[in-house]
Amino acid sequence: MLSLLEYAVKKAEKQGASQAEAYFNGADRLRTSIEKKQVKISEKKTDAGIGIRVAVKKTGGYSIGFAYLTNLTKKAADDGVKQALKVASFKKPDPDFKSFQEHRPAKTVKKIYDKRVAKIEPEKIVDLAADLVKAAATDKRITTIGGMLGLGTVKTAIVNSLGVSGEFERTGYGAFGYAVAQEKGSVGVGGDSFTDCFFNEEDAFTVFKNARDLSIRQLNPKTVKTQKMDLLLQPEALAFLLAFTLIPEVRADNIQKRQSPFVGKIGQMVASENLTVIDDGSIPQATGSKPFDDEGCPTQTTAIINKGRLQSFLYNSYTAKKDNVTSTGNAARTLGAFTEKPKYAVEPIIGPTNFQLCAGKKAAEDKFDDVVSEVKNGIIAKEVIGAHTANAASGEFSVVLDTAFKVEKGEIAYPVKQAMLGGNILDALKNVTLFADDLKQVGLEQTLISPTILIKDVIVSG
Amino acid sequence: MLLDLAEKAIRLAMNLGVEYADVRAEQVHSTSIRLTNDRFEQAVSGTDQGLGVRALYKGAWGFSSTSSLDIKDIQAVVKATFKMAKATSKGVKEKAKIRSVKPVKDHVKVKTHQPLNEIGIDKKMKQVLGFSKTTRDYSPKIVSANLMYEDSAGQKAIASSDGATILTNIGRVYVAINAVAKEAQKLTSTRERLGKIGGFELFNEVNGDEIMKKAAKRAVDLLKAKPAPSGRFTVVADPRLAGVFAHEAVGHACEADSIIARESILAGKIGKVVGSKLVSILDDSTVVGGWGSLKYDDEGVATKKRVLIERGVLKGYITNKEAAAKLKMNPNGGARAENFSYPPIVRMSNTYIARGDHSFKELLEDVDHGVYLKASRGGQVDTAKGTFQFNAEEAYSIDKGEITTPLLDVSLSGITLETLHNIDAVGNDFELHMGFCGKGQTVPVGDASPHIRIRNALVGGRA
Repeated sequence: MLSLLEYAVKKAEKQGASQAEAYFNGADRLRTSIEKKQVKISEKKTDAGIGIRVAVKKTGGYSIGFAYLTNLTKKAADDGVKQALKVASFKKPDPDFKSFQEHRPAKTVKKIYDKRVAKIEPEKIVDLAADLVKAAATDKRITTIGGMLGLGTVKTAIVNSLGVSGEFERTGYGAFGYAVAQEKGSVGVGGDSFTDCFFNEEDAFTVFKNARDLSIRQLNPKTVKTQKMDLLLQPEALAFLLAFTLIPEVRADNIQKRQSPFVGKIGQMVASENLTVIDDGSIPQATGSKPFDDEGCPTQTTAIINKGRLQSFLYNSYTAKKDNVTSTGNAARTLGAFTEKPKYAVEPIIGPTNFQLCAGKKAAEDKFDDVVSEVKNGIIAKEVIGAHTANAASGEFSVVLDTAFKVEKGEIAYPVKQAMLGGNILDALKNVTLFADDLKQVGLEQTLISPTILIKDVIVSG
Repeated sequence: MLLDLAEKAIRLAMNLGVEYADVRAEQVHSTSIRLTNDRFEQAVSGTDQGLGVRALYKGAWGFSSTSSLDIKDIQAVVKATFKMAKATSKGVKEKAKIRSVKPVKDHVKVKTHQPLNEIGIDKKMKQVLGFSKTTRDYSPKIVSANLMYEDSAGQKAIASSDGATILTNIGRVYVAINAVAKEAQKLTSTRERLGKIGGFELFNEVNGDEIMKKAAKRAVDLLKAKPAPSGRFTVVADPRLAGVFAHEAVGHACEADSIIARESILAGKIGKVVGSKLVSILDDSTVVGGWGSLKYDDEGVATKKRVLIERGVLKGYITNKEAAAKLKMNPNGGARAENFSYPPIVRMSNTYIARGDHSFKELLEDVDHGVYLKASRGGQVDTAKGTFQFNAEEAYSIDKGEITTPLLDVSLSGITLETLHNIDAVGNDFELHMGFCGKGQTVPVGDASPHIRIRNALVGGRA
């Protein structure tokens, strides 16, 4: 693949680009879906394309153009180069653009490729899915079981005019399961998920058993009165909430556009001293890990919030040069969280790799049960609904707490019917007190790694 | 050529011994532009092509897709589909069947004076830049204008083993504006959209600049809003929010796949009273100018107007070939796929609440203390539990029948069946809006409604 990328870069240079970059992303995915307690469909998808970026020098700076192709031929690459140059010719020069990503020594990231994944036959996954249904259907109150198992191999390659030239392969595996329980007119729904770079059957069973148990525990819920209480947010809830609040808000592009409540707050206390937030693209076997980002910059460990103090934002090459810092290796070809467009069809902006929440001042996590026992009057939620409606510019959000339980006198008491949480992410971060030991990674590609955390004194409306 | 490939794939699949197959083959040129404060964050064009095959074998489904239109890759993808279906068949307990419809052969054209693939990306960028300027010029309080432009033009072939061979021209364009206003430390944000199935003539037909100003004005007006109270109130919902309710809370619960999976509170309730007599809800793929309109669905079935709820009584579901066989109903054209790389699933088209007979003034008159909610930042629903939640973009207090204080960040949540019964007045106005619906795949949909009034609704604010 590198040779076609080199061809495209050379072609663009010949046609008038001062710098050019060609990025390849090709994926093979296998997926089996479960509906209504049985295997519903198995799917295999192959998708590959190339994105071409050009920088054209004009008076006052460079103009950037971009185009993509899915027909992987030299002829289509020629047309892509032409389209990219057309975009650049229309755009005003950008005085902040200095260059694409310079070559930096690449490093290797361990355990992101499971060579078994490409060889696993669909029958094996279907058999596993059928066994998962059996494992989750052991209680007669369970009326529905659904979910999916997915495996994927993704190849990435990049070449640019500045000597960047690299490729790597990564595998991903995910299991998602949910169950519906019914008893005397009451309906309980529970779900769980698991992601990894490596295939493993055992965790899929845990997912489906958890879904079963949660759906039963959700039966006969009660409402809560609107009041101030403590909130235990589990990793899944945090992943969804932060994807639309904290994560976009620490992206340097949003900071430079002044669309974040963290503008001008570097060095200030923005969270409880018990909270540390790190982005680390090099954790072995973590789903957000990769040797280099979507512009070819090696990934690294970046402390975003250290014991409550805001330390750094997430940068790609463009925003880094604008702020006179070095890129943190967070260039990401994405249109934002949970929007699916092939990576080759999107210009790089910024995204997390493995976004980690860790205990700050207290340094160590506490046992899950000990954290729950700290809560005299509170609520624990595994999921939130509606986080995508958050206002990332102001930090305001309003979500429904889902798969939630009331916590009373240090114990999980009963399931909660419908509770809403509104507030500002800044206030929530300041009230983070404890971290449990149930560390989990959520997501494939842009990953949150966190345990359950305790946030004190939030208003929950029933 | 696309239709030939699609038919060829059907033949190959049938030769392997499958019971049923459908294929979508596409070649679509699309343009995507993102502009923030006059800076192009994205300005991309490219051609997406590929073919997807779905097949039923021994009552089990398999699907495979490729982004190549090379005949060798198509042969491989048919084989992969068969392999997937065969694997699935080992885990299937209840075999899927399909109910066929009369075969259709057609070529659906898009009416357009200015086909999108004949317009250069530079002209499209210029249009978006103009909208940005209009928005930003509205007021110095507008600190940010985020614009999104998307179009696609090309062709899609649909073929099925029960005889559908349909070539559809594709032409779709839209612009979305997100205006952000700021005063002191307060930030507000609003959205508006314009779009059509057709071509670039959209920008001659619709006054886009007026829509930009509307978004800017609403963002600036919201700066005066105060935090809202939480609790149970009488709510008057505007056509946009009520349309979202129709789509999210009722439409999703009427999708036949969730009925069969018994993941809908409306399962087994056909003919039963599920709401107030004032409420009729429809899903209609044939609405002229509807963003969710389509002549044939992705199984090659002619679409139609579907009555979901008529005067409070549940009348029907949205079906595809498989659900129709299972529920002993007819397929009514509800199968849609985002593109060739997805299997078709049951989806809505244009979902709306039918017009009532109250004027807006009459809706407000009886409200002593309530909340007027306008537009939506989106919403989510749990069809199994029958609960929903959406965040309104704008809100106002209603005091003694008058709209008074603007309120900030208000959400509406509730239990669908309770809410349907609690609708005690439906307006005589009607507005059609465009949206997108995500269900693992994203498809364009329309929603519409008059103003509606809901008693005893759960409102969440921050005051």
